[in-house]
Amino acid sequence: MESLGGKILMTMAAEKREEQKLVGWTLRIGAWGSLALIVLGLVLGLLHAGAGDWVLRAGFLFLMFTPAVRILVAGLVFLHERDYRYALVSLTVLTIVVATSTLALLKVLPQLER
Amino acid sequence: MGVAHGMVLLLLGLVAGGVGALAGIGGGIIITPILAIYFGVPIHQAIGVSLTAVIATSTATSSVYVERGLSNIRLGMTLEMATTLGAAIAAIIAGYINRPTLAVMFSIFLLYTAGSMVRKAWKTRTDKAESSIPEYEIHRYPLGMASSLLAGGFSGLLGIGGGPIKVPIMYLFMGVPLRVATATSNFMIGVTAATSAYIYYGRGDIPIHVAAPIVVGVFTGSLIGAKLAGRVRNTYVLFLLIFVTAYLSATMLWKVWAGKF
Repeated sequence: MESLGGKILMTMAAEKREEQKLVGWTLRIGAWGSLALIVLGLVLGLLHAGAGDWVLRAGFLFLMFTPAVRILVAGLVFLHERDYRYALVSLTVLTIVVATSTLALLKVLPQLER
Repeated sequence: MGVAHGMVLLLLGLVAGGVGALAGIGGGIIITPILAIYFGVPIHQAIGVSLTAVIATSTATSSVYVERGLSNIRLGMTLEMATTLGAAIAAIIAGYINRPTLAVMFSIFLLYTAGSMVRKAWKTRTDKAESSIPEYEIHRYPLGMASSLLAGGFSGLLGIGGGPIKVPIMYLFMGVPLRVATATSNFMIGVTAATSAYIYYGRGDIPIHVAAPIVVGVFTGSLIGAKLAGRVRNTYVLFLLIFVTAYLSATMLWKVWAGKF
């Protein structure tokens, strides 16, 4: 009985390390990837005015959507672990984030004069 | 925008990121007022730029905290249901607030931050760092959710991370050890700031030519700051920041008073 309890604890610890690794790597790739694009955009802009604008824009979108991808990755890991409660939590956060970004980037929200 | 201008902004980001990492506060707190006061950037855009800097710092530093197991991913994601909702609503509301009003709100928040740093500087004289994480049990989730909604709201309104609200609540009321509370708050900040950033970006309040050099600076600065964190006396950095934030707050209020915002 005791060994069974120990085994469950060990599996839980291994699962925890797995999700830490996956979430950590998602964040790392997002941070360095977006930084690389932004630096590239700046350098292109130095060489020729306006040339780097679309790279800069891509870099900022990459940066802004990294947190959303991080939620998706965590949610999938929870689902794989059959931790349905936290899979649902992830889905809720993802829904709020995706709904907000869609509303904002499609400019559905009123554009104002200040 | 000229090269010299870009270099100055990069330097601003570098200092803000470095000092932020050393003092344990977000770099956004000094980026927004400096852009608004000295660079003539409209305050809504200054907040938008600060949001991108906040996402960059949180993403870069939390990858390390998450892998070390310091961030509590499940707690963070639970509270994110509230921070993202608060951030989205507040970011929309911010669009309807005029410049002087938003500047005054920001100045008041700067003063509050200065005050909380005074308390922190006083406490770090005696406190010893926790070397290992003790076992803990989380309670008072409803209180945590409510304060997260508020923290998210401040993030969307003022372009800050909201750590000064979440960390004390998690630490004092929810039973989370301080280091875990700080790492978890940092983990949540990226998602929260991104949610508001979509609204600011869609509204045209993120000028990418201002934001780009600042993000590069902040990213580099926070990595350097994190490396130096053990070696430089944090108290000196804190005193410097207390002075800077109080000065910026006063300058901003004076400018609003003089009708220059």
